[in-house]
This record gives sequence, structure tokens and C-alpha cells, in this order.
Amino acid sequence: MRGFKILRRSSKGPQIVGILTIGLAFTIFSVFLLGIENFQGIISKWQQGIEILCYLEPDLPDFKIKEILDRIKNEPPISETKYVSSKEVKEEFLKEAGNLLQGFEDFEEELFPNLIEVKLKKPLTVQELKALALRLQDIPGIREVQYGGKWLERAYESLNFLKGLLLVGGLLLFGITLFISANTLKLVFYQRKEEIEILRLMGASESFIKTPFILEGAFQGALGAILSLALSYLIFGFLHSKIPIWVLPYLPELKFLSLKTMLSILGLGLFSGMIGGWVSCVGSSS
Amino acid sequence: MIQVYGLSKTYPGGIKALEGVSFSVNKGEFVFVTGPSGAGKTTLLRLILLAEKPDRGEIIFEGVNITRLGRKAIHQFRRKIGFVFQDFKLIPRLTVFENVALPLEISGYPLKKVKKRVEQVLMLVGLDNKLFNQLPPALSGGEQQRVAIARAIVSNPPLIIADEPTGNLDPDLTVEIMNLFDKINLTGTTLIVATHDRSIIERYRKRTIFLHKGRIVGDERF
Repeated sequence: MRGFKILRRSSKGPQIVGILTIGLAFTIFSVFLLGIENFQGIISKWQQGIEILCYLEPDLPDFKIKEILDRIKNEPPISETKYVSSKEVKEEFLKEAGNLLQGFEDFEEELFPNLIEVKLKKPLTVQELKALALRLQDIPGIREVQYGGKWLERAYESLNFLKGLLLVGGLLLFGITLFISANTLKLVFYQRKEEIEILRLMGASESFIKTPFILEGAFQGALGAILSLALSYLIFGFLHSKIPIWVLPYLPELKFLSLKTMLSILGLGLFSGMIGGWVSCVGSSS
Repeated sequence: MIQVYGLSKTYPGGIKALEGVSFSVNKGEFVFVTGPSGAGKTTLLRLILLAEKPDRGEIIFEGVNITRLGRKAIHQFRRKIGFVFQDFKLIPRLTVFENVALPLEISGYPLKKVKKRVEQVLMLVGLDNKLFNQLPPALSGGEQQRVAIARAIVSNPPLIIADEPTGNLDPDLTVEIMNLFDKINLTGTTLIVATHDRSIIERYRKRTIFLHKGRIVGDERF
């Protein structure tokens, strides 16, 4: 297509500046996305290891404890239950406290309640977990149920907030790319104004004239997005190397953006660049 | 082929470029439009090309009122007209070959036949095939104007419009280019050539429309 050839042979300065600017804007977005994806991984790891503790009323007879265990086992999401007597709780507590509580070994066992540890078949959502805890709480003989739900709830609230920001960021980025592509190409369009006028005088249709600009916009947007992914990968590698070794066991395996996310970034770049290319020619028809 | 009725055009600032211009051109005619600078020659050609809209008046081309055409029809109409300008209006980023091929590509000419047709036309206007892959700025004025003429005739349009086509050329080249137009006219193509060069008009003795301050003041047939 000659129209495209004319554009490809024009000065590359504005296009390069456009690609770099789009690339930088997308890098900020990609790094943010990287943080969210990994934060989601951390939450999933917490969720997988979540355990429910059911503290029992004191002095329950054995048959009552067995009854409670049976009722808990009847809950579909529960995979495993384990009864821990107050004696075992005390021993575990002292073991974990180590030297800190030396000399306090004479604590009354009654200070430590009997409890039932509950493990789940699969991670539950905060709402499901809350509902399960309420059902367990209703079982006579259970005094209190703890499951670290508040933590999880807060983590999810933060994640949802970040996702909201991500949406705003995405829209903003879409606008930025569109603006940059449109203006870069508008500059090229004005540089080529006389040549476009010649094409029009020869009877070139609007699509013959505009298609190269739309393709150029798509090319700029896609190249900017690819550049941002490369930069984000370098930033990810750098930050990963800076994480202290002692923190690593508490974190899930940190990963770079998923293929789906990378393709979405590429698609966003391509699409916004394409619209930018189209916008650059709007109002130029003769 | 063309009938022009009461054509008027006033530019911003009240500058009257054309006022009540009427004439007709028959198929196969060679017409000079002449007059001093500011007489309205270029405006008249631009109105026929639909590069501008008239304030009043009508232009009928092959029985169709082209002043009322929609956008798509304007594209189609322009494909029927070849144009040549004083400043050649070649695309500097495209080679000679690519420039001449443009009208064919725009009108959807079969790509396989483009090469043959472009080479044929470039030979016809007397361009050496060593120049086919050159960019226009590397050519002389005369060569550039030959490329522009080749581009104008490549798709065999029934009408060619030329605005001061020899304005940038020396007398020898002027004669060569005018001879080329004469040759094209002999094949049945209608030509409207705007020029202020009286020597050309006297030498070629074709029908001449005289414009002065936007009005027709004479229409001589030799």
C-alpha cells in the first residue's frame, strides 16, 4: 500500500518519541499490575493455610466432645478435625514460647481451653468462611471460633481497592496512549498535509488515506506496550533480587505477569494506538 | 464534456476570484485559460477539480452536476481527471515509478498490470528507465514535469487539467512539454491548460479563454 509506504518513509522522530512515551506510561501500569498479581498470590497462600480454631466450654464430658466433633465433620467444606486438650495446648504454648516463659511452667491447665482444630478441603472466600464460622459458633459446647477472618477480610478489601485503582489506571492509560498516538500522528499528518492533498486530488478514498495512520497508531501502541513489558521484566528482576532472604519463606513464589495479562497489555496498546491513529485524521477530510 | 454556468467564488476578506463565469468545453478540445496574475485561472481549475466549492454556479461534467456530488462520488469523479501543476506536486518520498503508479492503485487497477502500464507511460513521456527508481528531488524540473504528466495520463482520464505546467521550465523544455500535451490531445483526451505565457498561446493556436478580474473577457477559437 503506497499510503503506508509514504508514512513509513516519513521522519521517524515523532514516532520514536511517541513509542517511548507510551512505553513509559505502560511500564508504570505494568509494575502496578505486577504488584497486584503477586499480592493476590500472597492472599491465596494465606487462604490455603487457613485453619479454624473452635474453643470449647470448660469441663465438657468426652461424649459431648465426640458429638461436637461429629457435627463439625458433617460440614461439607471441612476435611479434617483434631481435638487438642488443654494439657496439649499448654505444652504447645510453652514449647513455642521457649525461654521467655521459663519459671512459669506451673500455669494451671484450666487457663488453656480445650479446642478443636479444623482444616478445610479447599480455600474458601471470606463470606463462605464467615458463614462457616457462624454455623460452628452455633454448635452447643463451642465457646468461640477463630479463623483469622479479619485479616483476610482486610487483605481482600485492600486487594479490591487496588483493583479499583487498576481500573482507573487502565482507563487513564488508555486515554494517555490515545492522546500520545493521536498527537504524534497528527504531527505527521500535518507534515504530510500537502501529500495527502495530492492523494485526495487523485481521488483517493478516505480509507486509502486514513488506514496507514490507523495501522501506524496500532504499531506505535503495540511497540510501546512491548517496550513496557521488557522494562517491567527488568524492574521485576531487580526488585526480586533486593528482597531479603529471610522474607522469602513467608512469600509465595513471586511471578512475572501472566500470559493473559501480558496479552491484555499488548491488546490495550494496540487498540488505544489504533483509535489514536484514527483520531489524528478526524476532521481532516476535504 | 464540461459546461460551466455562472461560476462565482469569493475568498475571505471579500476577494472576488471568479464572478459569473460560464463556458463549455467539448470532448477532445484543447483549451487555454489565460489572463494576468489574480485573474482567477487557478481558482477556476481548482473548482473544476472540486478542490474548492463555488459560492454560486454549476459545473456539469459528462452530464452530471459535479458541484452537488457527495464525498464518495467526488473520489470517483476525481479519478476521471488528470492534473499537472507548476510545482509538479509529486510525492518526494515515493520513487518516479511509485508516483506514476498511484492513480492506478487508487482506482483499483489490477496490480499485475500496473508495472507494464507505468513503464509504458513513462516511456511515452520520454523518461529514461534509469530514472524509474529515483526519488523526484533527484530529477531536473523538466524530468519532474514529465513524471507529473505521466501520472496524469496513466489511468487514461478523459480530461487533463494543467495549471501553469511550464511556469518553472526554460523555453526549450516548455516547447517539449507543450508538444507532449499536444500529443496527448491527439489521442482524444480533453485538455484545459492555464497559462499566462502568451508565446505558448501564439505558438499552439488553440481555443483560448481570457480571464480578467474573475470574469471572462474573451473566448477565441483559432
